[in-house]
Amino acid sequence: MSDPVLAAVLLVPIAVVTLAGVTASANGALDARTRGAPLRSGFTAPLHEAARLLRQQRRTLPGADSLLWRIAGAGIGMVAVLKVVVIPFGDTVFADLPVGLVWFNAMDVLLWALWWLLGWGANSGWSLVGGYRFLAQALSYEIPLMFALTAPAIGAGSLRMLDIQAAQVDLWFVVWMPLAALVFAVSVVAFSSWGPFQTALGTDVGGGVVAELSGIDRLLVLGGRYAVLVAGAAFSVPLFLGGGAGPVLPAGVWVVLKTCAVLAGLITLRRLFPTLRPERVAEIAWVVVVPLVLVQLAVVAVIVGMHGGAL
Amino acid sequence: MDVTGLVARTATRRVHVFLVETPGFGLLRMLAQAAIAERGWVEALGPADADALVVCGTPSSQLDRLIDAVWQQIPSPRHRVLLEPGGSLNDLLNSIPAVLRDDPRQRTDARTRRLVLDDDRGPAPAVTPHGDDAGSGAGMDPGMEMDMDMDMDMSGPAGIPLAGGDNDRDGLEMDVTHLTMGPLLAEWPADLVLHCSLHGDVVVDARAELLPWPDNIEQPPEAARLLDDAARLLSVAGWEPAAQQLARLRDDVLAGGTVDRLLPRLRRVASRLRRSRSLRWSLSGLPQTPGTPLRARLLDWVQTVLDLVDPALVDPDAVDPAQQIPAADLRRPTSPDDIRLAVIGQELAATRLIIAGLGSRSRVSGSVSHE
Repeated sequence: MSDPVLAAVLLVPIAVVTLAGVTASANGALDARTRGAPLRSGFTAPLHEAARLLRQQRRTLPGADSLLWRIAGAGIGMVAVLKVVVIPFGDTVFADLPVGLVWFNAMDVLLWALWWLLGWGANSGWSLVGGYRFLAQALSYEIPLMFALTAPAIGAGSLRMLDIQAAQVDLWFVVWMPLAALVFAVSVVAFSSWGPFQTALGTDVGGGVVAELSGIDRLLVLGGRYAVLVAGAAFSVPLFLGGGAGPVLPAGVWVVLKTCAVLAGLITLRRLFPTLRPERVAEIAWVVVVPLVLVQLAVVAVIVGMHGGAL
Repeated sequence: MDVTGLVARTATRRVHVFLVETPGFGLLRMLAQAAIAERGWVEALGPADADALVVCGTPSSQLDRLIDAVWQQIPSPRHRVLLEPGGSLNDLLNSIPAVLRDDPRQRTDARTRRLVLDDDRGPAPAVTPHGDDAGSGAGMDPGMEMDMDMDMDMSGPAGIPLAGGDNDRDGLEMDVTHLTMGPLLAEWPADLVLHCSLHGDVVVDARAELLPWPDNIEQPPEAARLLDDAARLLSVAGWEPAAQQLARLRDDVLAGGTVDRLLPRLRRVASRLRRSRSLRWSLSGLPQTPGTPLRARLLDWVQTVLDLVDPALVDPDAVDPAQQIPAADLRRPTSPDDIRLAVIGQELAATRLIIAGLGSRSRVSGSVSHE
């Protein structure tokens, strides 16, 4: 931990992969229980799947844009790691950027390109439709997400993650910015193409953007998807849940514990809702959610103005 | 330590099976699904996701050609088995991991295949390309600068003609792509083929084709069939956990589960479906064929199963099976033309929901009229 660069290069990817595996395992166990399959097969699913895909032949299609296709597949997991490097674990932060929040947003916009290229590169009808769907969905979640990210920045008067964390010493942002926190959580599910927002990988398009992937390429995408989910959940901790604040245990442990709690919520979300079709989501996002988030921002701004800082 | 062997053993613990149902062999497919779930295996969504290809029922020669094409798309290690009525399902499935673990055999298989999969999905490659355009991926740009004179004979990447352009429903020029859905597609009726022309993901034209059914094959009990239809609709609607609940109930019905065990779970699922607002919202706003809204059909199916299973409601004197068929399923049979009209102008997601909402009863009637 003495050398933050080395730690960031080694520790962050290992931690992200581990947490992604745990999430996939928990999700697999719940699925196995629902389906009446042996519980053990669900718990060990990530391990067995990883071995299976590592041993599987890669495939390609005539006319596939291999370069862009492979970049997109490998990129999703990397974006997850790049998101995590700006998250403070107590006072330790691997990359203490003065614009950490904007960095997260930039990485999240990168996901637009990656999911789309994944769909486009395969040169397959199903994948292409998956890519279209992600873009349609992104139009709905991105604007509310950007406004939701603005709320903590206004609250703390800074874009640096350590400052945002420090501003929550007295009161976590989730308490007085509940709507922004909710929009953020839903957007995490959406940019991970997961749960009710999994249209880009839907059963109805035969797997969509992953329809033509096999072997290591498929492993990178499916693993990367869990990693992005983990990164999003972890980012909500310094943003809304007080960062590493908590009794007895060290701050770093609290960050991980809170991340796990958020992940549990996201796993539950998948079980409660069917997939929301992008054209229906667009309606709600633009007519209801955007105005509500703007009201949330106004409330935060007024509170900060009257109080002269965070509550 | 035998690392390769260890990886191979771990890798074949969770086999992904691509199930192909030959028209009329739904019961066989359901039994295979139950056996797959029991082993903790997974049903593959397509050939890329599959380790094993399990063909349920004896396919016709036409279907056999398609199955061969799909088999070519499955990455190694792979295995293919044919499941026929009266065959031992368990023996057949148990043979799969051993074959997948057989490294020399799988390596030989992988080496003898072309790495670039040619799956006959696009139109035939151009005979006389206009100049050397091969590899110009930029031409795939969705339509903005697409030349209207560009015909289908233009050579694109890898010799596949580029998509032609046309105005979409909003008057914007879009690529026209062609996609054939079925018959070898997960969560899709085994006897339906839908040839679509797409603008983006909007169906602009379609042609439906019904495959013939063989006679005298044992069909699943009514309750299992309805649960299967409902599970499929939910799966297409992207509610995997609820679909899994229904699929499990279907398996239990097929395995002869007792009423005491089935009924409480059925009631729970039924009330869950009835209460879900997001399901109501997600399934609304679609044109119906024939007649009843999708959600009402779904609830009707599940309610009928409840009536069929509940001993308090089964009247021993009334043995007229027609009374136990959901009202919506008794309407006129759905013809290929009905299907075509219902899906034109719809997005792919809506098309899949509409087809899943047909259920299997209306398709049986449809294929009878096809003869």
